Parts: sequence; structure tokens; C-alpha cells
Amino acid sequence: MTLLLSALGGVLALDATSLGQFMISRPLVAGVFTGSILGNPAMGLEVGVILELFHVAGMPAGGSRVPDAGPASVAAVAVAASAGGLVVSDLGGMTVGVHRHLSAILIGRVEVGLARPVHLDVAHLSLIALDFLRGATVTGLAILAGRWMVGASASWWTVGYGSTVGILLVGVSIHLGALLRGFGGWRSRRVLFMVGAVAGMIGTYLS
Amino acid sequence: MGSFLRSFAIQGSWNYRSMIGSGFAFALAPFLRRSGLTGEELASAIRRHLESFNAHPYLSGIALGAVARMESEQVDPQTIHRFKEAIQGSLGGLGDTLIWGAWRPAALLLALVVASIGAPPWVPVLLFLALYNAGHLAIRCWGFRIGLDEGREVAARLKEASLSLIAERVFGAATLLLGVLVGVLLTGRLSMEGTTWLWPLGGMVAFVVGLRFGRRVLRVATVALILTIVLVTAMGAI
Repeated sequence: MTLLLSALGGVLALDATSLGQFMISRPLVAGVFTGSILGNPAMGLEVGVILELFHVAGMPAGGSRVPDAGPASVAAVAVAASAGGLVVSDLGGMTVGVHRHLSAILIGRVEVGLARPVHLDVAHLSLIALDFLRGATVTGLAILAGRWMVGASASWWTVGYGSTVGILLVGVSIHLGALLRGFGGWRSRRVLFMVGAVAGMIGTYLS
Repeated sequence: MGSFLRSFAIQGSWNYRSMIGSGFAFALAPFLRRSGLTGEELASAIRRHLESFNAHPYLSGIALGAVARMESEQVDPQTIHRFKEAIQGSLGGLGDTLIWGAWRPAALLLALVVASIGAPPWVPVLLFLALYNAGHLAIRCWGFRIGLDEGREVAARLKEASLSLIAERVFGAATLLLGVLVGVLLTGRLSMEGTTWLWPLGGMVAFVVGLRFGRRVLRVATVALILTIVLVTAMGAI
């Protein structure tokens, strides 16, 4: 199962940057995919929603390094630990940086010695394959490490469910605030935001 | 068609040296081959396009189509180089604002709202993928087509399309959805049994901090959260 999930992590890592960008690598999607493979899509959704709330404000503008959320979501669902997903996401982002440095070296060599156009095709496709391996490795290692860590420390988490949700939602709130700033800020968007918030509250009370 | 399909892998060799320059050359290669270039001529044309280039991946098809058209018209390489230099900033800025800044968060917020009101797991996922990729594929097809049709004049078509105005409208819809999500989270999640009023208060303070400082505090906030969780776990172990 770990191998299958690692392969899924590899595919999702590709989707994030190298190939397609159909957004199957978003935590919400990756979480439900993984949960379904493990026979528990509801748990996949729960972890996916939490991780998505922590990633929704992220923006890969220009050449900025972004968290590697797809593999992290697979690992987080596999070991049922959302907070672990945040750590893996950040560490995975560092491996993306390493991949980009390796790409610069390989493409630099192609630029210097491009005798046949097929050399560029081979280099480009090899780097895509390497990105798959990177994502699969991050996922596999994160699942193995996560199982060990969750197994060792699960009983140490003595905070109640309500407070656990509270801690996560305080963490999420800062991301949602940043998102509103990205949409134009409080002054220009406050009416729409408040209308939405009131509608959300009324809808929740009625349902 | 080959170049269009390859444009889905334009970021496959993203690197700190030429960014998506090598991906651009990789995507353009089928068109250059079809134009009848072979041997050293083809290698030379591809080498020219390995230069540094960066744009939003979805909108890079506009430059790709336009350059393909210019290559077929045998426009001189210096003009093509200047065209790529000139258009990349607009394609990057517009794409970041419209796609990463507005469209993707809006589609995700809708899915998150649907998920948070208790829909079955696959409903928000399929809703997000269908909605987001309808826009994604439409803009890729449209971009490549206008690039091919207009060649070096594509900037005028891009201006006519008023993508900034579209982004502004999507920002409005996304704001409304963000409000709904916050309303649902406050009244649904935080009012659960065992949760005190301190958590909504903490959430509001955190929201204001995010609103004040924007994306630059996100990494610090995530690290602080992880450290809090590690600390609480460690305290439980003692």
C-alpha cells in the first residue's frame, strides 16, 4: 500500500508544476483520492479540508518556492495526521528547490552541447521523470516516518477535541485573512465579505 | 496540435537559469519540425528559444502560438527575441492575478463551502475539478489560438479581452465565498461542544493579522502552529 500511495504522491507532485496543472494535487482533491484508496474517503476529506485551508492563500507567483501540498496530503491522510502534512508540505517544497537547481545544471549542459534537438526532449522528459521520483520519495518517506511518529506520540496529545479544532482554526484564520487581503483588502471588499459571512451563519443555523 | 499538447508540460524543466525557457523550446519543437526545419537549422532554432523566459504556464500558450506564427513567417530572430522579452511580464502578471490569485481560490472556496456543509466527499472534489478545469482549459485553448491567429499583434487582442476586469469580478465572487466559509466555520466548527469563546476570539485576532500583513506572514504562522503542536505534544509526554 505504501508503494501505491508513493506512486500517487509522485503523480500529484507532477501535477503541481511539471505536468498538466489540473490541480489534482490540491490537498482537498489529494485527500479524498487517498482516503478512497484507503477505504475512508470521509477521513480523507477531513484532512484534505484542513490542509486546503492552510494552502488556499498560497500563490506561486514568479519563481517563488511553494509548499509541495500533494505528496504531503497523501502522507497526512495515510497516517491520519493533518499537522504532519504541514511539515511534509514545507519540507517537500525544499526538494522542489533542489530539483530546480538540478534542472538548471542539466539544461545548461543541453544549451552548450545541443547537437540534436532530441537531446532537449530527453533532458526535459528526464526532469519530469525525476520530479515524479522526487514526489514519490517524499511521500514514501513521509508515510514511513509519520507512522512511526504517530504511533510513538499519539497518546501524548492530551488536548480535547474542541480545543484541537480551535487551535487549527486559529491557525487557519490567519491564512483566510491573508486571502481577503489578496482579494483587495478590507476597505474595498468588506460589504461582500460581511454579506457572505452573515449568509454563512444563517445557513448554518437553519441547517 | 503537438506544440499545444506539449505546452501542458512547459514547466517540466523549470529551473533557476532559464525558468521555463527550456520548456518553451520543448513545446515549440514540433511546430519547428513541421515548418520543415531539419538538422543544424532546427537545432539552431531550438537553441535560440532556450533563452530565459517566464510566464504563467496557462498563458504561455499565447506567446507560444504567436512565436510559432512568427517563425512560420520567417520573422528575424532579434524581433522574436524582443517580442518574447516584451510579452513575458504581462503574461506572468495577468496569469498570476487571474488564475492563481482569483480563479483557483474562488473554485476552492466554493468546494470548501460545499464540503463544510456536509456534502459527500466526492461532491466538492468533482465540483472543484470540473469548475476549475473548465476555466483552465478554456484559457489555454483561447490563448494558443489567439497567439497563432495574431502573431506579433497578439498584445492588442490580449488588451481587448480585459482579463484584468474578469479577474476583478472573480475577486468579488471569491470574497463572497470567503465570507460564507468564515460564517460557516465560526458558527459550525467553533460552536461545537467543548470549545470555549476564546477560540473564536483568537480566530478573529489571527484573521486581522493575516488581513494586515498578507501572504508574507503565512510561513511564519505555519511554523508557529507546528511548534505549538510539538510543544503541546512534548508536554503530554512528560
